[in-house]
Amino acid sequence: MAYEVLALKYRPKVFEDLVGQEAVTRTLTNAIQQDRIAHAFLFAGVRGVGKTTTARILAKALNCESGPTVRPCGTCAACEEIARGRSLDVLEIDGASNAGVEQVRELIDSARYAPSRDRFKIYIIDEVHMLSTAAFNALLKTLEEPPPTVKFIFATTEHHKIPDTILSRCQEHEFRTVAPGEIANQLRMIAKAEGIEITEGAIRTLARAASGSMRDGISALDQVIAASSEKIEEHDVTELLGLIERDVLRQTANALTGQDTASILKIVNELVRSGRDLRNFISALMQYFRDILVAKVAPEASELFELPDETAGLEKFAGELSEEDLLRALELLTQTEIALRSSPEPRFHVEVALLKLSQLRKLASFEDLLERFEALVAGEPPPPSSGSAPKPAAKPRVVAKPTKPKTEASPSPEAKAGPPPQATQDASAPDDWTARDDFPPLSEAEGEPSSDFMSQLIEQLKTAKPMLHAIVSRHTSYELDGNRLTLKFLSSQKVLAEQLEQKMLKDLLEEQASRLADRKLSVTVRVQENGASKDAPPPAPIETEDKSSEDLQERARRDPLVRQFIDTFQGEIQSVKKPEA
Amino acid sequence: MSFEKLVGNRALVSRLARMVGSGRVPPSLLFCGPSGVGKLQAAMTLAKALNCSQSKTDPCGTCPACLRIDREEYADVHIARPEGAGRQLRADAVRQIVRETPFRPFEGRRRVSILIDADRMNDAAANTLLKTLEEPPPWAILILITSNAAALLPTILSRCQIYRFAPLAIEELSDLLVSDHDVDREQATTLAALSGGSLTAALSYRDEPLTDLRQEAVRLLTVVARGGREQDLVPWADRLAKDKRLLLLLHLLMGMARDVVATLAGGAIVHRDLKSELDELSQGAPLDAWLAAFELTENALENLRDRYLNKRLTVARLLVEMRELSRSRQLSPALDRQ
Repeated sequence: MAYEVLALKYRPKVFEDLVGQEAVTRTLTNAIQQDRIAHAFLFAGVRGVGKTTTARILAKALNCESGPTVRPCGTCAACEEIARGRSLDVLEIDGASNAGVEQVRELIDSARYAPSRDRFKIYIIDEVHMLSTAAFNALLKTLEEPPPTVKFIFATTEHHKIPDTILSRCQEHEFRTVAPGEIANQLRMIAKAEGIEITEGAIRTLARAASGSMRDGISALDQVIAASSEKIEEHDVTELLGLIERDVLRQTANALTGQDTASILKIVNELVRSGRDLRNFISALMQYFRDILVAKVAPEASELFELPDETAGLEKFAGELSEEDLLRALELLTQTEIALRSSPEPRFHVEVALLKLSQLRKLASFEDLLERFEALVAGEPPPPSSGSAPKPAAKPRVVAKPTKPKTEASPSPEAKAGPPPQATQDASAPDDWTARDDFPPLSEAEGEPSSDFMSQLIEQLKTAKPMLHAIVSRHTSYELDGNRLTLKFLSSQKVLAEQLEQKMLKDLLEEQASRLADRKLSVTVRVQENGASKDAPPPAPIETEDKSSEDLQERARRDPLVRQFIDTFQGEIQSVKKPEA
Repeated sequence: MSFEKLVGNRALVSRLARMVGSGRVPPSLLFCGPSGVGKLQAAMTLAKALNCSQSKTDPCGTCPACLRIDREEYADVHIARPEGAGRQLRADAVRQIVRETPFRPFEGRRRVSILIDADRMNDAAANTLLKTLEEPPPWAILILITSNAAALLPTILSRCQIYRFAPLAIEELSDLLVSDHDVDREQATTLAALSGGSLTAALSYRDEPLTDLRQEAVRLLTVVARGGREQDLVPWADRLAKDKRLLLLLHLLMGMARDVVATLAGGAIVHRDLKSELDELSQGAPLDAWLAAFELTENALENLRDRYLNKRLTVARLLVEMRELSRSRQLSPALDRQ
């Protein structure tokens, strides 16, 4: 029963032993040496960085028989009693279980009496953030002007929960997280003192897993010691703490980039079987991808690596993946990490997310698309500066959806007869990137060259002047003749169009248009008076008696979206209208 | 029951046994892992090992101390459970533990407190526990049990030694179902495969007549993958929405969608007895469509379970959206050919 957890056994007893909190210890020792000791302290910082420990050392320093001193002797009655938590004058109170105003009132009452033996009466309130508002308020007066023999030391992990009125009456000390190197040193020291054999790799892994908390690191060491019989190796640590080995991460990244779907499932299966936390896995994977990204964008800055040990593997992936790939992967992993919290089957979720990630690489990169897009633009009729406006090519339109030649190949899912569908081939055909959108866009005139002047203008307005954008985007057609831009609107849009006659809006529009065209343009608005087409959304179809309307109907019928419409609403095609040229 | 008899998580359990043997039992332990994998069993065994009157290392399970610990009558082994409508581990119960811990054990060697579903403590209760967790008296052991460790305060996690329990292997679980729960071997294998390695899940499925539900799930997937029509799907969704086993059905749908994904990706499937149906669904189908189908089902399930959305609309939307997938990307081209 003599077993004592290492974190307590090796709790520092003097200021010098405190690791990683130099700023705090320096301030406190100076204050003691110069006899300028505040009457209330607030120690804030994350778990396990030495707040309670410092509070106790400070209490000893103040009450030691040979004190106040920066080196409490640790042997006098006062020091001993504090160490054992028995001192009558140093009261360590758990804020969480004594959170009520009643308990605080008792405390204030007792503070009026002089210390029974020692120099000061010291109240250490741990987890002080749990005090109720009333309790905090009850403290205010005493905290502001306590009797000269009373000191308060508060410790908390949640600084933001402490009222400002309390904060302003305390001397605040921010405890920082402890660097992995410092934790490693301490662990090495403890292992040596305990006569434990442990490899350097194991120490480093422990220190890293502690993520800045000394106590986490020491507790983990304790656990590893209890679990393993002889020399402690790195893999003992990773296994015990449920950490994810570097190797697994590398394999996963390999499988992801190589689209090796079977391996992905195997890796997840193995992790689950060995009891690893999948959320840990995902965040480790995020770190790994982040390191790859760092290796890609800043290969020299090795200090930026989360896991600095080896960079060789990273460079390989950095070469294979584009920045877009990596950013997208990180985004997907972040989403996965969040979604895992509520997923009914975390394991399936991880599998699917990783498979999805592996498929993402199939998407053409953004640069590729841009290149293709530019090539498309380059092949288009004259740019606006050449004088007359390019007329949109006459395309048969049904409900504003262009019939694309490529859809002729894609069969209806309901086709019972006819040639077998070529769906998979269609979906993965490298040049057919629009087919990989989740659903075909419903109204966007996609695939149409947006190189013409007007669509550029509309695009520009969309961000620059949303209001103008709303109006201008309703135009049916336009003419660009020299320095004159004529916008035509349907009579049903008359009210909107008239807005443009206002000087302010018109000036704005002219300014935007001129900027785009790189010369002075004047805008004219014309409302078409035919009024034939009632409520149709622009660009409104206009009835034409086309000789080839049979042919058009046939083409329209083959369009999957039209088919869907017909299926869903049990409709039939009566006529096909061409947009106004 | 001795450590030997615990099912699953061998390495972890033998670590616990070794710990008891060497006397290095940490005062604050956290057992985490999916529900129904033996965390409480392990905690109880540990409690018995520390108090058994026959043995100091491995509990005999037959001495009065062991028996009374099992019946929760032993004065020094205290078990706190979440209770009430909100299934909260009440602050009162936690405070009682904090109050009692400083007392020496009455009859045994160690005072063991087990907190079941420790993640169901509210902030106040959790904070109350911190000081006790950090520096308990030498005779006290606190064991926190949770299936959701991430929901615990970091200050709690940092004070505990954490033991991570893995799901049971399919063989372990089906053996356990046969030996302890009166399930015949064939059903046991199916249940074990469906449960994701959790005894609780397996037992909850046992009480449901699963066969028809699973058949229905397969049928549903097949129809949807064929691009079924609204006039069929919507009434079907209405009917499903009224079924009290709707969530279970969605769970099965999700599992099957995952199985099609796994088949396409070259991995092992869970619904092994439905292999031929699932194979047919996956034939020639694009992987990404089924990935999307899985996400749709998962979403619907979460919406119904956590956000209490309208059942009819959610199910109808799920079916129609999956149907859309089948139209735009051919969930199952093979079926069309028939």
